[in-house]
Amino acid sequence: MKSRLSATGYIKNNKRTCFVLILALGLTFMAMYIIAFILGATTESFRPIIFEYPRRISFAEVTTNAYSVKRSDYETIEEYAEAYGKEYKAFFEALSNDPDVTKVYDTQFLNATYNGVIGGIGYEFPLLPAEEIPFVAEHLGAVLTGGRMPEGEGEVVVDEIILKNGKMKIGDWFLENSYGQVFKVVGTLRSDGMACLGTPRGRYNSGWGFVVLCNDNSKDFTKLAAKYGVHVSEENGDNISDAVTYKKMWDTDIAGTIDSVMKVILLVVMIFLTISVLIAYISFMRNRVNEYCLYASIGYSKGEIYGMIMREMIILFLSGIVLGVITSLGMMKILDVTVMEPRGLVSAWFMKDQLLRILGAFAVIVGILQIPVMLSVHKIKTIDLMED
Amino acid sequence: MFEVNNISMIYDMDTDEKMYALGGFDLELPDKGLIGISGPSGSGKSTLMYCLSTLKKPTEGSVRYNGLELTGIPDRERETLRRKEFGFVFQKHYLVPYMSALDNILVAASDSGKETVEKAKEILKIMGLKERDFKKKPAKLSGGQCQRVAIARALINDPKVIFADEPTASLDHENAFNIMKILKEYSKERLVIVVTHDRTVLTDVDTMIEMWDGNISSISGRDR
Repeated sequence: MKSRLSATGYIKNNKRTCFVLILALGLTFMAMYIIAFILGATTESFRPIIFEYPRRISFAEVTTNAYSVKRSDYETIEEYAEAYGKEYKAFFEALSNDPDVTKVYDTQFLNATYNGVIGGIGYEFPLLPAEEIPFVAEHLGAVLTGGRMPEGEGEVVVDEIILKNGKMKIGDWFLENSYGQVFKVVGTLRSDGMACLGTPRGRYNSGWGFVVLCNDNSKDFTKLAAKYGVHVSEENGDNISDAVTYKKMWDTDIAGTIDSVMKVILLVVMIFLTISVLIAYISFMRNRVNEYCLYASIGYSKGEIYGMIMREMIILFLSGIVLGVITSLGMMKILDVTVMEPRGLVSAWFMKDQLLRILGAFAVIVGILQIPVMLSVHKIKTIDLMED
Repeated sequence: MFEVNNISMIYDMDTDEKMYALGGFDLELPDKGLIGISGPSGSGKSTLMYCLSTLKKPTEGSVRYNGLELTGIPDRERETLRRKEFGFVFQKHYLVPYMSALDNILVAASDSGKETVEKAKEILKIMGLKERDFKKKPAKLSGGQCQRVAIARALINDPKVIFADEPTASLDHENAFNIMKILKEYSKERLVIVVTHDRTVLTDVDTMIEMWDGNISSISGRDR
């Protein structure tokens, strides 16, 4: 016998109540997705610096501990300095001759800062003689999009996104601190790795060491140095910025942290949503007790009544999700235009993982809602009991 | 149609003060006709009707419906019987407030399709509702109209038995008279059992069962 309990009957005839419920679900979905979008924008924005930039360039401040010469093996400091100098030169030459290394510089470098929605990231860029800059720019896949390349001392060309992010323009001072006004922005670059380049001015810098123009085979500086008997490590005080250290930073400080924050936020929102939806649904079902009792009295089984409640719930939740997706995309467009783009932040529109996570959260809520639904269905009386 | 043997219904079974709603009696009911069950409040008339309609299970005794022992059948079969062979009219109309008059009838239908919709409309017309009232929700209908819709809902599956518990309790005299007229008409072909404490509405019954304190005090009727 076919059940005539329609899932859409209530929805069609109680449009306002159902619309409020769908709207609440949709807005919750949107809130969850936008939080993920904003946090995700931070990781997305940092991605080029973490994954693209170090594929082509590494920075290493190597201490004397990394070389095989030991101070204790030499009687005088002069003898030690001479031996160390030889080893340093040999290492530099070995790196220069490595088939996977385009060029090595022993030079100063400077830090560029890129601020995400949450936190920021600093990364080195080399300060080189002006005549070297076009060659390095080409190696980094960077093209000049405005201004000119550095010609005199203390000039920098900055990636256009970094420039926007730092609210700077050509002609501004890139670094203005207690040392005075140093490094003027003379041009803008565009590249996959947000590259910046400059010429030194005296010794105003944030590091000095090897700058290695590498490729995918030589992007691990620790491994590259070990080939030539130089054993660098963070424990020995060596300061390395290469593909490996950037990846480590990504795993621990960026993706790891943001992922944890996202999970906590999602959990808090989910708990809040679950409680709200539970209260709404319990009151929703309480208002319909007489209806359910009528169905049971005229011969519908509890299974059929449960099926109708579940079908209604699924329609409401799916409608809420569809509304949530549409409003989320709209809101993200507004956020992108008003917040992200002016700050030079990169945003991901379609976040598959987040979408699945939110859908999972909604599925859990539907699961939890089974408790009041089943309790209500279990408590359904027939009309004779109501009239007793 | 119904054969009741030594039926008793005891409430508060686990306590010392057991309450006998039905005190153990026999009863036979025919395949058609209008049966009135009357008696004061607490006399057991509604309990008897609910035991016959499978909504309640008697504590002891048996209820046979066309040879089928109702007290021993599983819930699913009881539900199917209520859905296909029985129709109910309750004291309150119990119409679903968000559904139209027509949908309130269709929700009880055991078949779907255009014919069922047409049949529901036809019944509503017989019940005296105008076509413009079909789409109205219960809140927009009068008490008498609501009760007529409730009767139409009970009739939609052409039930073999209609159980009506105080169907005229909330109606004025004229509406009460009209409702009883409809039930009387249906009882020409089928069995209609009407429970009421108001004997004035049972003037045209075929059989009158008087109840008192959980037992049948008298049975009277045209054929008896």
